[in-house]
Amino acid sequence: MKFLRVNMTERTVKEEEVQEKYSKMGGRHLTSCLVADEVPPLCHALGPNNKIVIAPGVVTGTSAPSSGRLSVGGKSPLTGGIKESNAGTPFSQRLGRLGIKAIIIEGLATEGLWMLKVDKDGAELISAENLKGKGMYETADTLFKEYPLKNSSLMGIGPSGEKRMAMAGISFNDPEGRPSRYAGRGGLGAVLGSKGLKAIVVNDAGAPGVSIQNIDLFKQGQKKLVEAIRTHDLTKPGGALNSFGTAILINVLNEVGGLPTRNFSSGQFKGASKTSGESIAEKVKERGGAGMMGHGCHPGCIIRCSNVYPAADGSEIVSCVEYESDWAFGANCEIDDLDTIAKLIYHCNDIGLDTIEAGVTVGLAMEAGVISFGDGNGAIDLLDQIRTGTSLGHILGNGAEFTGKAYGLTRIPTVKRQAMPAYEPRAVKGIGTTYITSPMGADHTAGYTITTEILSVGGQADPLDPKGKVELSKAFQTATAFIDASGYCLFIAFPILDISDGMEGMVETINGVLGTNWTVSDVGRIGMDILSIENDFNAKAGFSKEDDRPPEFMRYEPLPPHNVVFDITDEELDKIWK
Amino acid sequence: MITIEAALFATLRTYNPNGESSEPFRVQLPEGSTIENLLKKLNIPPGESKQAFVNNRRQEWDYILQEGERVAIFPPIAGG
Repeated sequence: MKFLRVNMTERTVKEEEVQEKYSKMGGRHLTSCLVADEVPPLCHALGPNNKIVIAPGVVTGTSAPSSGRLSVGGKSPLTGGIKESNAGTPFSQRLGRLGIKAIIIEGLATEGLWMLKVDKDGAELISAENLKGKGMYETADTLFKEYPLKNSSLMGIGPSGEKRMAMAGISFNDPEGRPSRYAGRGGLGAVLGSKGLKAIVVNDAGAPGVSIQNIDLFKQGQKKLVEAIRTHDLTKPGGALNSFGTAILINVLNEVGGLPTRNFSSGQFKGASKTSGESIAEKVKERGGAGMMGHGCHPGCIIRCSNVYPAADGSEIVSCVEYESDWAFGANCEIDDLDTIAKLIYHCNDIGLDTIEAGVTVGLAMEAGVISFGDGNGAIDLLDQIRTGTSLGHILGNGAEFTGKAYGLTRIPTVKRQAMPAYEPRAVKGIGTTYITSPMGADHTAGYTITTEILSVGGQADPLDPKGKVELSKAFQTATAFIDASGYCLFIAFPILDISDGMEGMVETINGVLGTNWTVSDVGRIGMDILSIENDFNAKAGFSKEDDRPPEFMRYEPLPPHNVVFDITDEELDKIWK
Repeated sequence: MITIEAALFATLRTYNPNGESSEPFRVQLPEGSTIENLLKKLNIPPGESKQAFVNNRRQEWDYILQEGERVAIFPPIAGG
């Protein structure tokens, strides 16, 4: 196992041995620890002292099911705090098989635009001037012609990252080579842009594979986990995620009054049903052609929640229309046409944008009167302005909070300057607590209490009741930090919360790879260690408990249909990390 | 008798009496009927439904329905 250290100032790449301290870490654990150890918390996120760390999870690259995740870490130009952004992609599996525990990118290129080429023999920086200003689809086409998909995967930034905009994400390819899998959140694409790194291509031909310390234990755990995933109603073949995709949530969130609508001014959208997972599945069935449900973001996924959304003539518009992106441009912007939503997602993928930040920002532009709510073509024009970098495009490209301030708005749905995802904190208070207290800023994946509050999986909690939500969010946040380090998809949480054998199996696969003797009770402890590292970085970067607060309007503006405000007190919120 | 509005989602859409859809429809039931009675009337086999929401709040299967209420019924679903 090794680290690759890429210095953009000196234009050098060095292989380093992994120090003992980092040897049992992967994914988020490793990115957050390396960022905390090497990045000065008060540095400018786009300056020479910030770094980007890319790390596959512990089991990524093995045959463990649904484990093709990686973490990207750094100081966020959006939040000003530590960031871990996560994606599922074959890129992560190739890194794992090459024995690369992390790529650390530091310094700033003084001139030119570069790409990093990685294979079993080493790595080198080569010119990427030919890709300057190119969208991710053209970038992927160009690179996969030279580095065929059979052995190669791609990571890259679009024009928004090159322009150092705070909503720029990092794109990775899916199994068919689409640049559609994003470590989207927190503007890490802008950090790569500041460094002058356009892309990384990794080729794993002849790779040694992931070293497994105890193969019998690994196989035993793998079997238990596969069984849990394949039998649970939510994750089994033909189950909810596989048949309808994540946008199956649109109708249920609308039903409970928790689907943020018209820039977080209501919890219900009249057009919800037209944008639902059911409608996506119907369109895929009717239109045929390139359309498909049950698409996977990486080989070896047995959940397969992604999709390919077709146009009326059967040609592909985009992969994929998932819940958050669908909502961000759908209910949040009051656009009820799936074809338009799919086109907006395509533009985000091409420009290199986080769809959540982009959708919430467009919603704010609608509230400001730049365009009208429901204006799909106007929304596409705004994204084009981000692509070309007009003055308005630069305002929008810096995210929801920046845009809201530029237009003097007060209803700005952000925490720590990051836009809220697709669940209303006033109507679903546990997820609101996660948004408010996560070191990442507003992030649903950081502690997905929706599981018990809305889905009745792993227990049941009343979404409107403020009681017990701080404890609930803390439990989810700690378990999630561990899963983010493992390399497993967060969706394995659904089966392993209900099936204890599956939980054991997950831990056994990790012990098998690392040679550790962790038990299920270590999950929370290690998760808490990760969160402490992140919270400590944020404190040194200038964050205090006053940053763990909801946007003020959610305290005084009742949300229909329940007409409730966010009523978990500041004192309660402050207990979470004590 | 009471009249309620029902809506069925995801795999349960096939039990919509007007054809496979998540569009809401009206159902007449004797007074005092529960959500469980509604499931039987719609021929939804036991175990296929996971949760029911009445006027935007989750309720148990033995909840007694009132005139004009909206009932939304879901199978096990997830996302994120």
